[in-house]
Amino acid sequence: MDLRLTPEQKTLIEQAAAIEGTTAAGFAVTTLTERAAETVYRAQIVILPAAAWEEFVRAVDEQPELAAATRLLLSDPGASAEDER
Amino acid sequence: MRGFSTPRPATVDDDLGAVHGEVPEVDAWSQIRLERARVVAPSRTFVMREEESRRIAGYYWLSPHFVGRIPTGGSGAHAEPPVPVILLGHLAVDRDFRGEAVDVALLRDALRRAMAAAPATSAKAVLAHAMTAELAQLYGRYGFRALPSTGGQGAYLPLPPPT
Repeated sequence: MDLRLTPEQKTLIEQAAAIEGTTAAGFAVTTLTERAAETVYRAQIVILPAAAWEEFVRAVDEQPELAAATRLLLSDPGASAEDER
Repeated sequence: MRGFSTPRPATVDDDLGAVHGEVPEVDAWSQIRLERARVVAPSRTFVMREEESRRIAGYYWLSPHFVGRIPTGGSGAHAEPPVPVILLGHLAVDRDFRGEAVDVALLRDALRRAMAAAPATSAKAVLAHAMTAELAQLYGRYGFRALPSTGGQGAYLPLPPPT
């Protein structure tokens, strides 16, 4: 990763690194990694408002039986994931 | 009726961009999300071919995902952990292969694989995006419920306890 920094950015990062008792490079790596992990996490989650969340959690906690149509679909001998093995 | 292959994991040689559904915007959305899923999460794409022409008749992808709630912000409130689910990414059928139950075969394969992966991933549901009216109908027919407050596009199938 080739980073180009303005002198102002460089000074600010060095200042922050000094406060945390680390090097500018160490500070950059730690900060970038944290932000990257957060970004990846946010891309993998659907956030619901309270009422919708309650409804969703109740439904999945119930672990209802599959609908008849779904069971029929799954029992169909058509192309199966098992066939590959 | 034409013959179709069993859905297989996609390889880098599979040109998923050549699969055209009915709605160009949905195709574009699907491609962007697919690219993102490839980078962001360990997603896997499965393709189904028409036997004779070897053309891709349709595909879908699966990836680990979560459903969470908006933080309440109250100081005493303990955060509820997000629920792990398996995301069934856009299920696409090429318009040249419409009406041949390719969508049903893809959904069957997707649900089988998702249910096989559920115990290992602790997934409680399969989550899907009903990007078109046909998809909403397909998911509804096989037990998916509308995920509230997602503008009618989110659909989920609660998974039964593992047997």
